Amino acid sequence: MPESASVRIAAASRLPAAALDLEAWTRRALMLLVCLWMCVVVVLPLATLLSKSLADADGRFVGLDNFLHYFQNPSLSASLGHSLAVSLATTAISVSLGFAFAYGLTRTAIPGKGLFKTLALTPLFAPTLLNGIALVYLFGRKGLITRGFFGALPGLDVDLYGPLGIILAEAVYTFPQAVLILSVALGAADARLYEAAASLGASRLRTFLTVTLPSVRYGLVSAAFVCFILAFTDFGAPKVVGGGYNVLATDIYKQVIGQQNFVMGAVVSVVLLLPAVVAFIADRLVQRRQVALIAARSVPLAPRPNRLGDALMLAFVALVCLAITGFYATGLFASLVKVWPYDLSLGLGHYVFSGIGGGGWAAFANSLAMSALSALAGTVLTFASAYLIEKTRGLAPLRRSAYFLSLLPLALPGLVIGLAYIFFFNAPGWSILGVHLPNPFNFLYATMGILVLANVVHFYSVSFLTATTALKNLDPEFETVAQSMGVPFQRTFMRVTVPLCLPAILEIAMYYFVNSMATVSAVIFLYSADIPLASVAVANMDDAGDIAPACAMSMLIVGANLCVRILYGLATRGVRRRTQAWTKR
Amino acid sequence: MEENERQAARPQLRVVEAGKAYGRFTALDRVSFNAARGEFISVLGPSGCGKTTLLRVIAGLEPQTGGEIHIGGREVSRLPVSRRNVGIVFQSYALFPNLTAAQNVAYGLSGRTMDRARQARRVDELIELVGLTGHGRKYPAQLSGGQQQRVALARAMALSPDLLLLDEPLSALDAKVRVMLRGEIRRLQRRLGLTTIMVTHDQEEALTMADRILVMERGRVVQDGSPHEIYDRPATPFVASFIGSMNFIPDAQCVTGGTFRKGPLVLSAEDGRGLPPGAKATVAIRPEDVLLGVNGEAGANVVLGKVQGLEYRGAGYRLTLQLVLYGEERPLIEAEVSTETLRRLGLREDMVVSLTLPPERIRIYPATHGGHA
Repeated sequence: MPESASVRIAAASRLPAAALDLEAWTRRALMLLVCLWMCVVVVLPLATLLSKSLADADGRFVGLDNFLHYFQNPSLSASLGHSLAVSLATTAISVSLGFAFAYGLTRTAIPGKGLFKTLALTPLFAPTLLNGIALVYLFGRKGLITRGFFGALPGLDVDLYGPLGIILAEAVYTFPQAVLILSVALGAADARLYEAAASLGASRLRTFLTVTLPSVRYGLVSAAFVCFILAFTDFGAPKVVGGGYNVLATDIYKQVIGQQNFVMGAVVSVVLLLPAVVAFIADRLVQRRQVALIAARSVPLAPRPNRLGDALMLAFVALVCLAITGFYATGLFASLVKVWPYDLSLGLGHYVFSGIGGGGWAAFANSLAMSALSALAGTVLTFASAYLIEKTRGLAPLRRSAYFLSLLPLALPGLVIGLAYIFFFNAPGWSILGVHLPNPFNFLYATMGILVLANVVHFYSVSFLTATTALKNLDPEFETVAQSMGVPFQRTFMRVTVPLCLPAILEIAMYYFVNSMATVSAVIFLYSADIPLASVAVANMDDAGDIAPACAMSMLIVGANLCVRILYGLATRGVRRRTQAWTKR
Repeated sequence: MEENERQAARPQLRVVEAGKAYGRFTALDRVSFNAARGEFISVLGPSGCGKTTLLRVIAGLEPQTGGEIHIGGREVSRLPVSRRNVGIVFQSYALFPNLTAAQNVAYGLSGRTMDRARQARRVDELIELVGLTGHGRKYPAQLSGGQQQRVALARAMALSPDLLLLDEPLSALDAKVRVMLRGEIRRLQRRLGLTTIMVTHDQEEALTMADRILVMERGRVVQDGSPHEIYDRPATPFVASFIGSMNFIPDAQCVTGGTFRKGPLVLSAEDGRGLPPGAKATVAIRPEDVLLGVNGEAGANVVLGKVQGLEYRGAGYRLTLQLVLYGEERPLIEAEVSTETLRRLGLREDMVVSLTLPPERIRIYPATHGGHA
């Protein structure tokens, strides 16, 4: 047989035994490293924060005294009620509008769905501070609508500063999230159920109540939880339009920055954290039940044209998009106007930032650098750990812990991460049972490193879930096949797993970049004077009354994010073209 | 004597009392068998019988909870899959979709102490071997199911494994392609002298391809034999009904050596000679062994039956007959007849015919075997 000679050569060239035992150990070690890393960046900082909230200013343990003080002081504890109230109102608005919008996108035959969806998702690219600022330009004392389009129409003065302003800003902020989640839920319809309902003579309303709603109930619950957590923990919007209406997020900021009361800052952080954690756990429980309910083989539902229904839906969807576009167009216009509302000539004067605090273009450049680094580090870390957790066989307890720890950041508000990081990374060391342990991570404090780290952790869980979903779609036998051929796993990872997951990897990178650019809450406690950031500059300029430059800076952030989004679109198109090379017959 | 012969044959695969338990559930119950060099063994059984677990234990993908595995004379029980030198073809093929057919085949070769030119030669050789010359630069999605299957096969053979493991390799293919590939895989395996274990739930696949079949039921091997033995002398009612079909007449009683009675029905069977009088047994016969006649045949093992149903099967007919007997019990017997016989005998419903159940074709299962599936 001609094969037998090469047969023996190939067999002899198998890897030596020791190298492969090493592989199992490498995987185990890496998995431990993932757990360890999540402990250092999540668990320990949180523990430090918690211990601060249970101690007095001098670090003596006082039990729940701080919390008692907090709840006995109405001027402090009123904020909890405020936060709950605005978040619930926001959730109700976002989820109902989001549902109708998503329904229009998935279940009706209206034209221009792609455009409408793109427009509806615009708020994802903006800092929430901008939502507040745009509202000020619309409904503030000199606002476009308050003044009736500069006197052209009768004015309408709503009492913007306070709950109304916060709810409006948060509704704009959370709306795209609701649309995204509910589009997925409504998009996964099984046509056979509708055919069955129709064949049984069910009316449209009955079909809606007995088929549509039950099939999206998990999506609805999930959307509600997500909107609630986002609105509950957001800092940017209440900072700008909250006025005298205190919420938890602004309280933390005031305690820490205004009064330098770190202990009370920690206490309020814990109060902020708890509902978020509860919502997070509830959401996870609901999602777990959902998995069991997804039908194995369903037939996709193709929406049928319906003249009246489609016309109404088109009007609604177009109106929402018009409102969102108008909202941000007002912001863009305001950033270009010389002196609102007196001199409406346009110019780039507000984009110069000279003689104004906040850091100007340097801050913008820092933000770009920070976001790029966060995207790079975050993508590598989340994808690699998702891979290890998803594609390692055995080690179940270790994998489960790593998985749980990876999802935990989802429940952490940015401000809580920021404050916890100050406590943890600023500590010179710890005394444990009389032994002084120097803090090995102290060098990160007040550097770009800690900013990047905070962003990586803040946006970790969503990226991790994206990566996990992509990895789950790969044949689990890929690893087994490679293993049976004695190919080391890192080679298969680079040659097969990464190329196949490239679309997800790009999505994660974009997600990291966009959110790192826009976030203010996680970094506002962590940036140092020599590394100013764009989003923080917006907050500070707004504080100082320089609203137009603050608006201009927000526009720069949105612009940068849209550029990255377009780059992402081009890159995925390129990747898809290559993907199609694999799929084309 | 037999033991000595086995020693001399040096089995390529030796599975000794391999066991696998998941908690209290036993997936593999002390399974033992050998495979000689170049032998093609098919592991056959219904889903959940433990056949895939057995394959994974042999491959080293699943650590066994007891017993030993020897491949090529080497104990590999504790070794990971990468060190067992086995080639695996999965049900899903698990071809890397972003690599061409040739790159897939070369996947295990590259990075080894083999220079590029020789590597390329080896890949060409393998591609040619599985009959895919000219398709090496195509991506898996550009290949048909059968071609993908062949790429997976070539990839599994690239490292010249001591053992080839096939996990339901043909189940994802169309019936026609499946039949064609059966022959191809078999020829290839013969040519290379590759010891092969194939897991399948398709009895026809097992019967046509394998040198030997292991039939598994609830984690145990219930019969180990050539396809002919398995079909002709199924060891248990389960094997008999899982492979092909079988008429069962339960609760018969042994009258004397080789004669069984069930109510008024008395049958003699060569198979039951050793049973003591009074023993309970199930009498069984394959439908195709039942002979029909209309000319008033008489003699041993001839009974009358009324045609109750005629089921057209393409190549022939499956008849359901009710035995005409005195008393309450009138067992149903199925018989397979060719279209030609049907026409010749003029068979139709409600017709009374004589059935001959040849004593040498009857199988006897002593009642200790328990019920049949």
